[in-house]
Amino acid sequence: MNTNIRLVILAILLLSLIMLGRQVKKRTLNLKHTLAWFFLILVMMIIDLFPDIIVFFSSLLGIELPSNMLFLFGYILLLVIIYTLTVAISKLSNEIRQMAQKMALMNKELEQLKEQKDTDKEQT
Amino acid sequence: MKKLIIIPAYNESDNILDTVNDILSNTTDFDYIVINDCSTDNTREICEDNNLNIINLPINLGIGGSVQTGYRYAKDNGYDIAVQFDGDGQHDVRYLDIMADKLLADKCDMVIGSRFIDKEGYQSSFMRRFGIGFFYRLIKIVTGAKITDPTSGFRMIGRNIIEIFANDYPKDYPEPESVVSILRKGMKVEEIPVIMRERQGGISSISPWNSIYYMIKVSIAILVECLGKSGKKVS
Repeated sequence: MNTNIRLVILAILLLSLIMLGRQVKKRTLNLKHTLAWFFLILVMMIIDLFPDIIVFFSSLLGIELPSNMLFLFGYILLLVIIYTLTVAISKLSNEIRQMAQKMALMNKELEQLKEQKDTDKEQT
Repeated sequence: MKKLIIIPAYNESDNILDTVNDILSNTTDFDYIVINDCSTDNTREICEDNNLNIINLPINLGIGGSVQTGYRYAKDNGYDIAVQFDGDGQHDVRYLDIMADKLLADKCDMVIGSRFIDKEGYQSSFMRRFGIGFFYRLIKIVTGAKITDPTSGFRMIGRNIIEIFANDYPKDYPEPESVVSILRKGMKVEEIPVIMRERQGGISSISPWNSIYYMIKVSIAILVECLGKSGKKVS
């Protein structure tokens, strides 16, 4: 691979890392859910600096073109990121359901207390 | 001077009554609040049957979310001092006045009860001590401060930190990250030596696999805290 493109990619990756870091610091993004992205960028930086890693793995796995290996690898990492998001959404969805139910039950209890208070008032 | 003891509790039915009774019999000017983190055992019933001062969270938030709830309560009710006190019997009530005196006398923003200054009492497991040593060095590098027990939950804070934490407090493994955050803002953090007991009953919430995730996540969080300028408090 051409050194120029590798430098450009490295610069883009570093900028992305800093941008993500600042968003986490501003609390726009949660660190927990951004960790997978940090990992992806880190891996891409390592491959950018040491492309022979990809050549090694592609010959190990019997893949003809190293660039195919790169795509496969990137694809798998993206699937991992999407999976972590799926887990997070499922958890959030459960929590929202629980909170909605508790709120509704609390409101019912409140109404009943109000009714009780009104009937007590009427009787005095 | 209003002082609040925040007791985060998740499935502490074995210990919670003893902890609160210990507080009630040994302190006079501290209020307390139990934060029930959606326990699945009968922690809630035990507290309600005994008329304890309790907040029941509708979903499980973890230690960070529970303690932050306590800080919000402290802020809303005008407390000047808030101290985190674990519901499992590890912390000792006798240190509360010592911590409060130090906070006020030395004009600190936070006082941490450290197990590792005098190295007495329960010293925790090897894995944990390794992690704590690691964070001691990391925090020293990024802030210059020597925090011997950065994961200690036994911490007392003043009004200005109560307001900061009520709005912004990490959700999991909050202790090291939050210390770095306020140190970067120029706040004064000091430690006093304490003796902690071993957990009296129930189960701890950090397991071995979680420890590795913990160390990675907290290290990254500390490094992220170092982005942007640090503020120095103008006194």
